This record gives sequence, structure tokens and C-alpha cells, in this order.
Amino acid sequence: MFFKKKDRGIREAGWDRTLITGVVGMVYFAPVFWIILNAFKTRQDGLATPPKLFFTPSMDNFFNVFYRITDAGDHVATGMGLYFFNSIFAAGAGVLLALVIGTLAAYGFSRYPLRGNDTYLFVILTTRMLPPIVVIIPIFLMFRVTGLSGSYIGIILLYAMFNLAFSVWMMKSFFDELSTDVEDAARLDGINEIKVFFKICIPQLTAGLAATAVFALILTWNEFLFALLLTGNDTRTVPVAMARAMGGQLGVDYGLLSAIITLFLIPVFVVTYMLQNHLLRGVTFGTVKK
Amino acid sequence: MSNIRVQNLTKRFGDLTAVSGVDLEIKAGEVLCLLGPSGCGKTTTLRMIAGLEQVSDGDVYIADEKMNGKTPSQRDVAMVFQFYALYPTLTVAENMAFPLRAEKKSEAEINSRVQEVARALALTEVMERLPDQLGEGEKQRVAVARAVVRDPNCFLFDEPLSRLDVTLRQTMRGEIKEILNGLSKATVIVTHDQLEALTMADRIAVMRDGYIEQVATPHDIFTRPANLFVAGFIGTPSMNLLEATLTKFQDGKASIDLDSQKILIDVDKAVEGIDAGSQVTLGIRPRAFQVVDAAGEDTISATVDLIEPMGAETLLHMMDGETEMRVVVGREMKVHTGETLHLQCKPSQALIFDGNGQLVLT
Repeated sequence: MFFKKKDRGIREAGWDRTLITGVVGMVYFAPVFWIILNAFKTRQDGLATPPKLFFTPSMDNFFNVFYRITDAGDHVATGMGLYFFNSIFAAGAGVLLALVIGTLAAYGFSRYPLRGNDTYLFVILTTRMLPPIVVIIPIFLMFRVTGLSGSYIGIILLYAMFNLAFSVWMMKSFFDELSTDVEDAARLDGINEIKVFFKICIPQLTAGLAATAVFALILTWNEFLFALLLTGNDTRTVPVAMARAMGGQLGVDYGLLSAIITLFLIPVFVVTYMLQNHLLRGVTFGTVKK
Repeated sequence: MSNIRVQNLTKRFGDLTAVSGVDLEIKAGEVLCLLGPSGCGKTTTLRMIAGLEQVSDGDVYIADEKMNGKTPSQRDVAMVFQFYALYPTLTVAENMAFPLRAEKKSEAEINSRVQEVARALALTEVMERLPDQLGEGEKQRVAVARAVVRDPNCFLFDEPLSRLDVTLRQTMRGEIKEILNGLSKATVIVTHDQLEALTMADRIAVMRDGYIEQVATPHDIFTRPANLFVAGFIGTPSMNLLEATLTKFQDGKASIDLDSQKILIDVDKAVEGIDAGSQVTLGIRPRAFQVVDAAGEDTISATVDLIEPMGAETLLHMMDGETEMRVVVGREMKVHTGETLHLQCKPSQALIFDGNGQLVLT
């Protein structure tokens, strides 16, 4: 061996393990990498065999995401800007709503259990057991009757519901981990129940809230089926718009599609990156004995 | 007056009665220890006084005011929890200021109070740390500091020292006692550690299965345990409780039939009231024996079975037929297993418990 064997215990991985991890990571990252590269390629470069790793980058695809050039040579907006806003707004508001309601409900389930608490929790979870396609018809009809179809309110409520079960379950497990003694201490120190929740519980759960928010956001951000059927022209989200962009006159425009996906990755990437410290703590919450 | 009084305090959880008919009165400046094995209802009693559990029955008075149905904050009590229950997201200084902020005190007053208590408890060095960054002893001191920083009606401690190691426990025991001495508030300390109770309490209430078995001063609890449970629970090594038959009582001395021998022994004169021939239990502490040279009518003879040196003293496990006895002798005494010793009970150290397990006492 060229390297001195270090003493056992916790230490950084050696070059061999780092390399293996790197290779596995590359395998996972390869499709994303291909898409990002593709977004910067011209149509010729994009369809070249074998795929080109070195090429002159072009921003044309990104331009085409937002503007279409008509036969007369005019620039016409594609509406993709609005769709991006719709995605951010619908997913953001839906997740926020689910998080607020879910956290309150989870606190209730954890601290003031009902008779048959577990049954209620199970019932809540069953809402996520069916594949979405099964419930899409009744929901579609309900939205038609109530006039929610095609509105922001409709899709936000739907996304909130979509994430609620998950939020309740996840937040409940975080609440269960907290010591109730700390809350009792606060009660004895003279603060009321509302402050116990906001000043004592919530500050301890930032990691849990961040983890729940990120997971919910990723699920919602990529949601396609409900958005396809329940959004209108003005409230369409990016995944739906993306599907529409696939059918061009000259076959699938992979460059354009890659550019949309690349842009589509940015918000969720940014949020995850910003919350990553919280996220790791949230995911490992309770698994490490304090 | 900052006193605590509970009357007929009862707590039922479904079919289970955790606390039954507890009556206690703790005067201002008095420290009462609730002592008992795990699950005896002592913590539940404490939580009912604090208002963290609703009473099923009975009344709680704090400072002569009925507290049933009042919230913990309305009761104005300070409590130190077993696991400290520090606010994990707040620094030590913020933890200590928390109860004062809740009372909407001025910042200047909060600062001066916090500084004063921090100095008294040697916490000035760690004021900006989070609870996670503190040692066990420091956490404990912060918990105590948070309780004494305001001026509550009374103090409640739930197993305050159980998480500390032995050395730290001894130091903190002294510190807490000192702090409480200066405050003249009614204080209830829950513990399962009899040494803690015996050293810190003015009075001890021994609990079992939700009932109070005895309330008395540490001295009385030790020397005159009201019944067999208290007798066996208090004291290490625990009291020898020997099944016996009372044959005669005369001139302050009882003739008692043990398994295989008879003994004539000094007992309380209330034993006169017990019929000759009754089954009783003879209780003698392991340290109440002296070893004498020859067997007599006032000695018990037993064989050394096991020798446990404990440093200053030696604990002997002895057998008399089927009956096991524990005897503590000085470390200078040389004994070997299999040896037969003649044990004489020191004057007025023998207790007689009647057939119902109650101490017979004038």
C-alpha cells in the first residue's frame, strides 16, 4: 500500500470510495447534464451522432422559449413567462397552504389526540393511496360545478389538498419528537397556548418545516395530470406547456424542450439549495439520539 | 403566605387511579420531598399542583387560594423538570429572561434580575450559549436559574438531580438546598432517591401506588417508619424484617419466637397491646446490631454467608436457617464466611410491626 493506514473511526473517505461515489453520482446526473448541454446546442449539434461534448454554445433555444418568430419576421411572446409564474405561484401557494394547515393539524394530532387518533391519521393518508387518475374524474366534475376549473384558486386548493396528507404525517412525526416538558415549562413561565405553539414549538421545527416544504414543493412542481385537466389558458403550468411544446411542425424540438427544462430546474434547485442545511437536519430528525 | 395545601387529591386515567386521596400541607419555607418507587404517582401529584394535569377529585390551594381549574401560569409556580426542559432555540440568557418577559417586566429589570441570578449560580460565562452547548451540570443550573429568576409562589422540582453523575449530584444537592434556604417558599421535590430526600427535605412524604404511606421528618421516617413498606424502602442496606411470633411482653421487653431461636428484646411499650401468640414482624436496621462474644437471651445467632466490604464498613449477609439478615459491622472487624456470630440489638432500635404491617408505637 502506498498510503499509511489511518486509525479506524470516523474520517474522510479515501480516494477510492470518493471515486466510486463520483462515478455513481455521474450516472445519476448524466441525463440532467445531457439536457442542460442540449439546451445550449443548435439543432444540428443537438441531433449529431455521437453526441457532441464540445460545441459553440447558442442562446437561441432560450430565446425561443419566450418568443416565436412568425413568417413575417415579427417576435411574438409564447406565454411561457406567464406559465413559469403560474407554476411558481400555484406550487408555492399550494405548498404554503398545505404547510400551514398541515402543521396546525399535526400539532393537534400530536398534542391533543382524539379518540381513535390513529384511525383519523390513516384516513388522511388514504387520500394519497389512490393513483391520481382514479380521482381525476370526480374532481374534474366538482371543479366544473363549482366553477373552480381553470382558476388559480382551484389549482392552489388542489395542490394544497394534494400535499396535506404528507404534510400532516411528516409534521406530526416532528412534533412527536419534541419534548412536551419544554412546552409545559413555557406554560408555567406564564405564556398562553398560542404563544406556546408559535414561540416554543415552531422555532424548534424550522428544519422539519423546511424538509416538508421541499419535498412537497418538488412533488407539486412536477405535477402534470391535474394541471393538464384543471388549468386553463391563463393558469397553465410549465409541465403542461412543456407537453404542448413537444408537438412542433418539424417533429420534437429537443433544443427548445431542453431549454424549458433547464429553466424549469432553476427555481426548485434554488429553493433546495437555500434550505439544504435545514433539509439534512429535517431528514435525519429523530434518527440520531440527542 | 406562599404555602401549598392539597386535599383529597385524586387522579384517574381511565380505569387506573394514579393518585388517590392525597392530603399534604407545605408551609412557606418548607421543603417537602415526595419519595417513592417509579410509577407511585409522585410526578402526577406534582403536575397536578403545577396545573399541568387536571385533578379528577380534590382541591389544590396555593397561597391559600383555590387553584382548581386555573392554568399553570395563573398559579404562579416555578418548576424544574427532570430533563431540564430548557428552550433549545434560546440562549442561556434568553432562557432565564423568558419568564420575566412573559410577565412583561421592563428590560432593565429583566437584565438586572438575570445578571444577579446568573452570578449566584455561576452562569455568567455561558450566558450566550445554547442549551445544546452546555454540560449536564450547567443545564441543571440554568433550569434552576430560570425557576428562581422570578419570584413565584412556590417551587416544584421533578427529579432534579437524576441526570447528574454522583459527584455533580452531591454538589448540586448542596447548592439547591442553599438557594431554597434563602427563599422561604414552599417547595416540593419529587425524587426516587432516598438519599436526596433525606438530605434535602424538611419533611418526606413516602408514596406507593398513589397513596401516601407516611409524612414525617427525615429523622422520623428513618427511625419510626409507619409501616413495612416505608421500613423496607428507606435506608440502605434496607432494614431486616423478620417474621416472628410474639410470645410475651413484660417490663418493656418482648419475648419473640423467630424461625429457629427465641430472643428477648427491648421494644416500645405499646407492644403490650398485642395479644401474645400474634404474628408480628421484627424490624432491625443493619447498623443497629452489635456483635457480642457469647450467645445470650437477647442475641440472635446467624452464620456469615457473604461478605461485602463497603469501604468504611463491611456488609455481612447472614443466614439464620432460611432467614436472611443484613448486618453492617466496622471495617476493622475480621470475619470469614461460615462463621457464626452472636448479634445483639442496640437499645430501643428494634421495631415491631403488627399483623397488618403497621408500626406498633405509643
